[in-house]
Amino acid sequence: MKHEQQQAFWDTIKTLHEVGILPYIMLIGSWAEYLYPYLFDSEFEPNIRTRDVDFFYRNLKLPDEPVRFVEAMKQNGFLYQVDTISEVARFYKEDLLEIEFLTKVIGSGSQSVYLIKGLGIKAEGLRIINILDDYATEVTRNGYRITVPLPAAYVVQKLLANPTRVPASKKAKDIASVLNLVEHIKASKKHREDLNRVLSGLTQKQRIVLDKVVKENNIDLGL
Amino acid sequence: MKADNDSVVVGVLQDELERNRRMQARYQQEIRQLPKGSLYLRKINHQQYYYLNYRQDGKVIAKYVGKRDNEKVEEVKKGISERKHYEELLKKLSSEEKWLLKALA
Repeated sequence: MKHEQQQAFWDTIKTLHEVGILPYIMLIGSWAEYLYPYLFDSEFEPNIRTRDVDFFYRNLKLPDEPVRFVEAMKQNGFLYQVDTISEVARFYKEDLLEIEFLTKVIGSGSQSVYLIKGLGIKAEGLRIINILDDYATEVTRNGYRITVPLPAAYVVQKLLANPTRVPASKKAKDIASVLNLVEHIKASKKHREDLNRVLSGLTQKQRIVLDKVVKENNIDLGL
Repeated sequence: MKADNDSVVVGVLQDELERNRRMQARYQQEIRQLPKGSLYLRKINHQQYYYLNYRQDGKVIAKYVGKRDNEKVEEVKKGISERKHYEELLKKLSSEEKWLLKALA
């Protein structure tokens, strides 16, 4: 399954590249960890990957002109699904992957679903991922430039999301990811600096949440 | 500190179970829209015609599709092939669902 799943992941990237939307999105979630070994000099090994591939759609106004996104995905072997309740789009690749698009929540609004006009699909809005938008980096692999969050931002975001993470069963998985990444962040001057930069950008309220989660889980951020 | 490995595994399995069921529902929906049965070529008065043979309520139905080179025939052939592919995927997902339920029990 592992090789097939990785191939399905690269097929997804290829399709996103071909329709021209790869520059507008950020790979988040456990599949971002799949690309993190290319950002570390130490031998980082990603945590467990699931079928769930999440893309953060960073600017809903792009592309300016509509693209035949759903058709392109279908032509590349993805099955399109619209959630009957939330209307959020999902794409299935065989029994290997489930692709979803998420976006940030702007202002004080409580809207949870946003239309990506150029793609003609709806994405789920999550305020907790807003922080990732400010700390992007790129990994060039297999001829594609893929945007991912800085590992430091990825860790901080997981820590901030932990108290409200649903379902609660995902909390332990997130902490395991954090613990795995933190050791490699601490071992690198560049990533330590990134971590300090991300932490210094937190609000006082966010810092309180982060400190509490760090303490409860005995995580040493190396500060 | 080490994360509780059991909680991590249970979390992942529960997540995969939900996803597995979503995928099964979507593939079942797709299968319902695709033709079932098999194509059968009949020769009538030097002409060749395709029929779709399938079972319905215990009876074998032979539904006319079209002449040998008709576009509709190709469409049905593609549909049958897709249906078989999705049925295979469903089998794999169903077997995986049983495994996940057992692991979570």
